[in-house]
Formats: sequence, C-alpha cells, structure tokens
Amino acid sequence: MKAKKNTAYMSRPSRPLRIYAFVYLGFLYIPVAFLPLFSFNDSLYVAFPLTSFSTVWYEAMIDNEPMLSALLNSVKVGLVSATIATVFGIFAAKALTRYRMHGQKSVLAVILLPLLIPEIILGVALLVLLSRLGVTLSLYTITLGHILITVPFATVTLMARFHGFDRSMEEAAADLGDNAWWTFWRVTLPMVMPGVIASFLLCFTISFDEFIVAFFLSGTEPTLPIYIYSQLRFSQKLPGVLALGSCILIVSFALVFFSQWIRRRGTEDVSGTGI
Amino acid sequence: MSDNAAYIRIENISKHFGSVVAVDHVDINISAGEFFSLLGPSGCGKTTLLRMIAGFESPDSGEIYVDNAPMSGVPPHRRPTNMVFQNYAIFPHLNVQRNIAYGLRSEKPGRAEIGRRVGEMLDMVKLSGLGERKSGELSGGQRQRVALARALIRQPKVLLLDEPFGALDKKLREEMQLELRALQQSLGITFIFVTHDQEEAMTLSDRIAVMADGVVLQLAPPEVIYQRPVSVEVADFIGQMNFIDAAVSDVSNGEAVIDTAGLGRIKAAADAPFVAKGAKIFVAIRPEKITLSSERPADAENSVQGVINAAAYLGDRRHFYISLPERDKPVAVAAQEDGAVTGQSLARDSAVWLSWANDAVILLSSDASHRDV
Repeated sequence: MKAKKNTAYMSRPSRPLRIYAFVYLGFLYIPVAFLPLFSFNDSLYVAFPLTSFSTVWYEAMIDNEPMLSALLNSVKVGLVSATIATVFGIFAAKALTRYRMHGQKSVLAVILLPLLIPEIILGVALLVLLSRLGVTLSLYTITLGHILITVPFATVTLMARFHGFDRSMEEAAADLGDNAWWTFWRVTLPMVMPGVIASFLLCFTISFDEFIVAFFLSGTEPTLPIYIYSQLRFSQKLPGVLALGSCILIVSFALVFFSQWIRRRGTEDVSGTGI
Repeated sequence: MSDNAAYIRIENISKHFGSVVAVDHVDINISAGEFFSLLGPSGCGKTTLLRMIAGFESPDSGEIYVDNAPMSGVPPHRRPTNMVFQNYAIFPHLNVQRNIAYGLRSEKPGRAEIGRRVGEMLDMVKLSGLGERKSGELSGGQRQRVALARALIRQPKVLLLDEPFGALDKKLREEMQLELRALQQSLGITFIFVTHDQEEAMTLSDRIAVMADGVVLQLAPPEVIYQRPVSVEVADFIGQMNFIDAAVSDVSNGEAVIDTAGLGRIKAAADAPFVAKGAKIFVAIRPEKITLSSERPADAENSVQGVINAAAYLGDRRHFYISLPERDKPVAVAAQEDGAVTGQSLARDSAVWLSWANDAVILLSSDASHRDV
C-alpha cells in the first residue's frame, strides 16, 4: 500500500538516486564530523584508534592566548567588513533596482567583477598598491580587502530582496507625507531588513574564513585562518585547533539556522498583498 | 455640482513614455466634493493621469491645479492628495493602527491625539477591534478599508483611488462600492476614481471621463454617457449596443431620413454635423430599448420583423439574438422577465416583431477619428 501512495510519475522514488544522495551527504559531512570527534580524544595524534574522552584540548584552547587574539582579530575584521559591505550593498541594490539610469548593466557587472577575479590576484594587486602608497599592513588593510571581496555578495543578496518588494510601498510612504529619507527609514529599510541580516551574515562568514587576501595583507596581527595555518607545522598544537574548529562549527550552524529562519519569516509577506 | 468653481483643473496635460503617448492634451475640470471617475480600457492613460495628480509622474506639458495651487514641481509628499493603491500597499511590517497612523508623522500630534484619530478612522471604515492585526492577517476587503483609512486620516483635499476594487470578488465589490459612495458623500471630499469597469463607474460617479488612447472621448454624468454616447468607442465601451450600418438618404428641416441595413428606413433628428445627405453613419440602439412581440405592434413608431436566432435566460431578464434579413450579425434584445414576454411564445427560429421608439436611436459617425467631446 505504501509504495502505491506516491505513484505520480514525477514523484516516483529512484533507488540509484537515493544512494547517490547518501554518498554525497556522507562525503560532505563525515570529514566535518571528525573535527569534534578528535577534539575530545585524549591524544596528540589525530588518528584511530581513539584513546579516551577528554576535554583537555578545550582547556588548552582557553589558555592559548595567541589563538584567542587571532580569533578576536577575525571577529573584528568580519564585523567591520560585513557592516561596511552591507551598507554599500544596500546603496548599490537600491540604485540598481529602483532607478532607471544609463549603463545600469555595466555598473552591475563592475560591482560583481571581484567575484570572478582570483583572490590571489586581488591579494597581490592590493599588496602592490598598498605598499606603493606606503600603507602599513594591519587589520585595516585586511578589512579593506575583505570589503572588496564581500560587496558583490552583499549586492546580490540585497538585490533579490529589493526586487521582491512592491514599489508602490515606497510610493505609498511618499504619498503619506514622507520624503525620500523618511521613506527609506520607515519603509524601505524595515522591508529589506531580512536581506540586510542575510547579507551581513554571509559577508561575515566569507571574511571570517578568508585566507588568501588576508595572508597577503596581514601585518603583525594574524587573523584566525592565518594563525591556524601557521600552527599546522607544530603537531602538538593541532588538537587545540580541532577544539576551536568544533566551537566555530557550532556557532556557524547556529548562524545558518538563524539566517534561514529570518529569511523564511521575511518572505511570508514581501509582496504586500499577503494573499 | 458643475456650477461650482473648478477645484481641480487639469490643463492640457500630456505625457509620453518613450515613443508611446500615454496622455494626450487632456483638459478636465473637477468640482469640489465631486465623485469623478476616469474610465477606460487598460493602457488608455487613466492611471498615468491619476499618478500625475499624485505626483508620481510628471507631465511633459500642461499644468494641474488643486484648489488653485499649481502642482508642477511639488513632490508627492507635499501634495494635498492621498491615494488608495490598486494593491493597497499596506505596509507589511506594521500593524493596522500603525499603518493608519503612518501619515501623521509630519503633523507631530501627541500620543493621545494619534490614538483618537486612528480610533475614529477604524470606526469609520468598520475595523474597530482589528487595530493590532498585521496586514497578512487581513482579508482583501479589510486591507482595502485600511488603505482607505490610511489615506483619509490626512484629510486630503482630493482622494485618488486606483482600481481599488479590482482584487475583490463581485459581491464584496458591490458592497464596498455602496459604502465608498456613502463615505464620500458624508465626508464631502473630492474623489478621483480610476476604473476599467463601466458598471462600477456608473454606480459611483457624479461624472465620468471615458478615456481611450490617452484622450478623453466623453466627459459627462453617467446617464448622458449611457443614453447619449458621442462616439462608437464610447457606446461600445459602456454597456451593450447594437451598431447598424446606415446611410443618410435625405436631410430636411432638421430631420434625417436614414436607410439602415436591417432596421429599414428610419427618421431621426439631424442634430450633428456628420448627419449629412449621402453620409455613411452608424445607427446605435441599446438592447433594452427594443420591444419584442409576436404580432405586429399597432402603435409602435418603428417596427421590423426578424427570426430568433438564440436566447439566453439571465434570471431578471432574457437576452435574445435576432436575425434580420439584411444583416449578418444578429441584433441583441434585452427583455425584462415579466408577463409581456415569455419563453414559450419566443422560441428559437420563431418569427418575431421588433419595435422601438424614435428617441431610442442614436446616430454615430462612422469616422473613427471623429471625436466630439
């Protein structure tokens, strides 16, 4: 009986495809699962068999001053670049979806171009430029590079949101006595807010684990990916990295679920007709 | 109403979008307190005209005056007009109260004042008790009421309505029409109403401007538009109409003798310049102006015999389609469902007499470009 339930041609299940799906998901997530597994293993060596359960690496992580400061650096760079990229993204998305202007397509292409330029080239180019200008490499230069990388993502995310909502909302605000500035604050921004949050989270994530550009543009203070890379040479530090990695994994999952929840809540009533 | 000084003056307004002429040299005067409708098919320029009054589009030429103040260069947020949008444009992130109170920001009233005025508006549009709801929790009719309250709380000089009933089902639409008309009369605010639904325009309006291709074809009260359309386009757009090819065979002493394809030779007042000897014209007659009978009516001013081609029962009336010897297209006749005409005596293929009064006939120019406003 059960097999007959879904017999519509397009929804008939296929065994090979199901196996493929499981293999795919396994390939994707099993390596990630090793991270928390070995972070609780009481051994210096990341290898089977597991010895015994231990939280020693988590304790070591808390005591590892340079690692925590690298984490803090990454969070700072991520927050600042995500904020600035999202603000730029709002301007760009509003301009590209709301105004009729000459060369609209070329403007969009120029904004999205950094997506296509290999990061290694961006990194080298920025390094050459900044050293020519005599700028000292620091967290600021990394932030600058990350803004450059994340603006396209912010723009695309926000454009989808701006496209999704009805122009007459903004006209209604103007009709009810609001100038452009008030209309933006009272109608446009609240309505694109789910897109703003999504853009912010996306940009933060990209910046947080970005390595190549950060590697070229970092001064004396490393971001977390650079710190982790530098520690890979010392095998005794590796389990500590695993512990930190597990923590970041949990936070990332929480962020993804949060942003999806925001997004879903936001799409309920974008059109304004609500029906 | 028309004896008042014009409150809204639309003077020689034109608007192009690229090479498309949306509004073409339109002049309209609207009195204070009038319920005025812009009626026409989609793309006729009625919405563009409304949006120019609201300030969302600027005219290429001409000027719009509201209460003697020229509107060009005045942005939408400074105009004494408010609009009910076609899709209502209820702000989804605000509840009903906040939606309605939205337009009070610039007045900076106190909290108590806002509460009082929002309460008044909720009462007026019969939404008391729903103030806390979000727009997603409202029905189509309720959203329409919120849109109305939100616009009216600003006490506009003119309320602009862009097809506000388009999304409602027929029954609710008729209910809302009556309410809107009553509301307009009690408030005394000038309403400019855009619609493509001729019945709606007739029900609501003091006067109607029938538009097509960016020009006003006729501007008159509903009765005049219906009874005395000035062109084939207007007559065709408003209600059902039989158009019959005809030629003027003679004009004398202000009376024309006209040969028609199907209705025989008729006489009518030659009250328009196109009714000249030898001219090809259209004779138009409304389906309900024709009476059917099985015997030749003795006292009718005009009568002709035909054969019933098809009949449709519509409850309150019947529609008949009657073939005439000299005419390809059957003539439509609408008969009230009462004792005078019954289904039995007027079966399909039976011969029948059509009769009508002289004043039921409307003469229209066959020249499509002829526009006599």
